[in-house]
Amino acid sequence: MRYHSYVRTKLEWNAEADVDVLLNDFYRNWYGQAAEPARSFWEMLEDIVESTPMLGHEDRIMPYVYSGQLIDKLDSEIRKAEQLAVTERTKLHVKVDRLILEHLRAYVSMRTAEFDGQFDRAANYAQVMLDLRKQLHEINSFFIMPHEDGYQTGVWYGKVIDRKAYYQSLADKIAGVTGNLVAVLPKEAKFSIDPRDEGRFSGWYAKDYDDADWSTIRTTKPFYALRIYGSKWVSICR
Amino acid sequence: MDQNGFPYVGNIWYRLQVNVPAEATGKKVFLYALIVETEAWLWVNGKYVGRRPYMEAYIRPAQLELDVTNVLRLGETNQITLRVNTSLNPAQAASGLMSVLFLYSPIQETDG
Repeated sequence: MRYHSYVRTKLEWNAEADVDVLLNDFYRNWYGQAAEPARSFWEMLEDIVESTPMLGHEDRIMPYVYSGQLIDKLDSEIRKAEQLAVTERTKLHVKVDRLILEHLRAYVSMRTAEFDGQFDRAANYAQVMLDLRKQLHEINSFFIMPHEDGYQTGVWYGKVIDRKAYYQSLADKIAGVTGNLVAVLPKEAKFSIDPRDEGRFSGWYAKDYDDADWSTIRTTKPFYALRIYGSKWVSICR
Repeated sequence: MDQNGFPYVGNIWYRLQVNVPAEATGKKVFLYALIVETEAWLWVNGKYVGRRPYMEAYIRPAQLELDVTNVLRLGETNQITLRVNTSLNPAQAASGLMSVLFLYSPIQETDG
């Protein structure tokens, strides 16, 4: 993020500098009259990452870090900034933040659709992300590449275009193209860890096995979203 | 993660129940999950179905897709059980199951 570079560079010349003063300086010069909501926007993003109890690969935890409520609050700050920005330069800077927010919103919406089994919608949101990336690239090529040819990693974490194709293949499986949906399983499952590998010997797979004292977990949530308190595993996030 | 801050690695189990409509009679039915990290074994109604071999946790797609035609009871509530192993490498931060699960019937050439 831009303010990181600014603050870091200033601190390299004066390690005793007041970071809050530097940030005020940056936001005032970068956003003009829109400085206050723009700063609030970025600080909200920093705070949520700093305070989340989730720890893991970003693609696994992001849907549980960036909530719909947070995105609504971010949107509110960007709208204030859009109203306050006066010059072409500051309007452009706020527009970049808007595109970044819309990209985040599309990502979270894509994952929500994925978790709901609405794969056609997930593919559509992937396309929204791809379209937004082109707009960001047109503003400045340092933001992101306009296409993903250079990102071929072999896994679809790095390529939204591969992800879109995968979602579409799943939509086809359940919508009469290559297959038909029979049933969607419940969103929540009974859950237990098995540190001593008892389950396979004690028949935890049996149809009538009593799992009443097991925890409950959403199947789309990493199991480490549960933490053990005493003998009970409870959710640490929404 | 336990009280001492150690991330859990090893075996974890998931049990679910699902009503399966009788309309699927005579069709092949598969259970599908998009993301299973890193290895899994599936039982339906207490009967072992198969295994999704080990894959590094970051690889995608990481789907489990197993034919459950012969063990599914159509028109009844079915018990689905998954045993997942997260591997012994906490650095991978394997998430176990991270997916909606669904049953689907592939369109076979003879269907048309």
